[in-house]
Amino acid sequence: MAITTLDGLIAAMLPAEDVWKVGFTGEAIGVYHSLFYLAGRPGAAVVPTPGLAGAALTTYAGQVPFPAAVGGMNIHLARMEASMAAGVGGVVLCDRLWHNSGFTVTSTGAQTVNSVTWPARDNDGATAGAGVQIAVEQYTTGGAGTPTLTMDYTNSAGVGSRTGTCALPTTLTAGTFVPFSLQAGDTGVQSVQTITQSASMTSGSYGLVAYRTMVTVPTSVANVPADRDGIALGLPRFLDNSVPFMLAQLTATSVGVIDCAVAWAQG
Amino acid sequence: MITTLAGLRAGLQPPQVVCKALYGFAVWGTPAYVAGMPAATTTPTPGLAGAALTSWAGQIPVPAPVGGEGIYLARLDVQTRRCTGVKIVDRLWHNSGLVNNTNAAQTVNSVAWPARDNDASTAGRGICIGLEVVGIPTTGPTWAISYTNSAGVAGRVGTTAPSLNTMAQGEIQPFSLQDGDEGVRSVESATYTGTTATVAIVLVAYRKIVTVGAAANVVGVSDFIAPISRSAVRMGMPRLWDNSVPVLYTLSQGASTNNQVNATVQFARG
Repeated sequence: MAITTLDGLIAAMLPAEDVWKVGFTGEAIGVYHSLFYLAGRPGAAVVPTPGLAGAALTTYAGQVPFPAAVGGMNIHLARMEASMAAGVGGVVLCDRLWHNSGFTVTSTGAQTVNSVTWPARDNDGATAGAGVQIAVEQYTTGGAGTPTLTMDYTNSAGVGSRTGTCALPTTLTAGTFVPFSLQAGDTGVQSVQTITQSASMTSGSYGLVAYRTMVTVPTSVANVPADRDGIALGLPRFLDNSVPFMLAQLTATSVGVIDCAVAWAQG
Repeated sequence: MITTLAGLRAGLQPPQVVCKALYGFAVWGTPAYVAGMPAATTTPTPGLAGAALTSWAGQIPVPAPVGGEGIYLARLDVQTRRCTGVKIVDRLWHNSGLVNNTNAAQTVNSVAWPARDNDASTAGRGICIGLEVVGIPTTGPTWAISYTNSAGVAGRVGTTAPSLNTMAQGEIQPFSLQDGDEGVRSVESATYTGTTATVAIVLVAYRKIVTVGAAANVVGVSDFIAPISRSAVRMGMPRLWDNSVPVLYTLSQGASTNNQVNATVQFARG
């Protein structure tokens, strides 16, 4: 049974999940910051340690709470509200499919990832990777090095040896989230084979995250909550066992308390 | 339960008015202690273990429960002065008796919450703990709590961020939860970590129902903001469990004087 009517949406709505995070100092204007590891509710997630091949995710402590799967029912985002106390910009809600750890940040050689298969949660509910992006998530503050990362990957059409790049600034702040650019024409990533740094980062640690961007709620004015209902958001469908998490879009490096809520509809 | 737009319309109850005299917050706070409608409530005095709440003098009146029917927030109209946000929470529990003249752990051992967490149970998923000022502190309080999370794991630690201002009666500071926790089932102890002083604070267990923006305003001669209005569908059909204690909170725009709120709150039952 899918939600196909307004009445169906009304009947399917679940109690909202409160999400709030403490203020922080981000990397730079225009750079995303992951809210995953910040204190608040839910409590901060622990930095993952699954190794270079990573882990396919169906749940992770610290995620935005998500309804348990029920056979025959779909889950949609029915409402999202968001506010920032300072550094306003927007809050992005994403589904986290996979993440890894274990890079040698001082190496300039190709580091083998050979990521495990994603969960079947791409744009088509498959593992092909349609709409799946890869980002660098900084786990601990980076050193003075400014490497550009080159990613060797297979695209969502199954074509291997594709190249994506990601330039990292110096002393990258923990929590910074920097997406890779994909090779011309590509719209998604099916798997990651290697990562090569152009220079040593000298210190710190980072991992890769495979994710799908779902919605963005702009927070245009400090401390003024913005809210969008399901229709305004396009009634985005989150597939079973999604791992929702949030990013902040920054217009200043100093960011105040982020206060959000999401309401799911399951029907 | 209400499952259709027609059912929502049929279940609408008479609107309730919230209208408060001037007050002054710099952060989130409840004007429940301020004169107006509802009338000002008094400082809680249930003791350290607190009281599970099914009603409270400072609450927004809510329809009485009827077997087989649900209660939903159907409409919220708000006009504020010098406030940027309005929040409605369900207040499940509060206590009293915490003192600031010691940095030793103070035993709370909270009584069981009412069955009004996100899942209508006592487990605590979606329940947050806040530090609410009921007297005037001289410095921003910094506290830590030892709690049991909604999964039943004890010995968890929650902390408040130090307040940057001298907090007013009604202002609240939420506790951050420990790694990965989604809610609080009970509070075992509270520890004050700041400079000792004589203040009056209580702990509050609450579930957020909805937050809406009150838009930005310019402080001036006439600094009321144009009213905002939200429908049930726009708010996500917020469900209030039977015997909820809805309480309104506002977020000041930063000017800690001349805050004011006028709100119309309408529930639907069906």
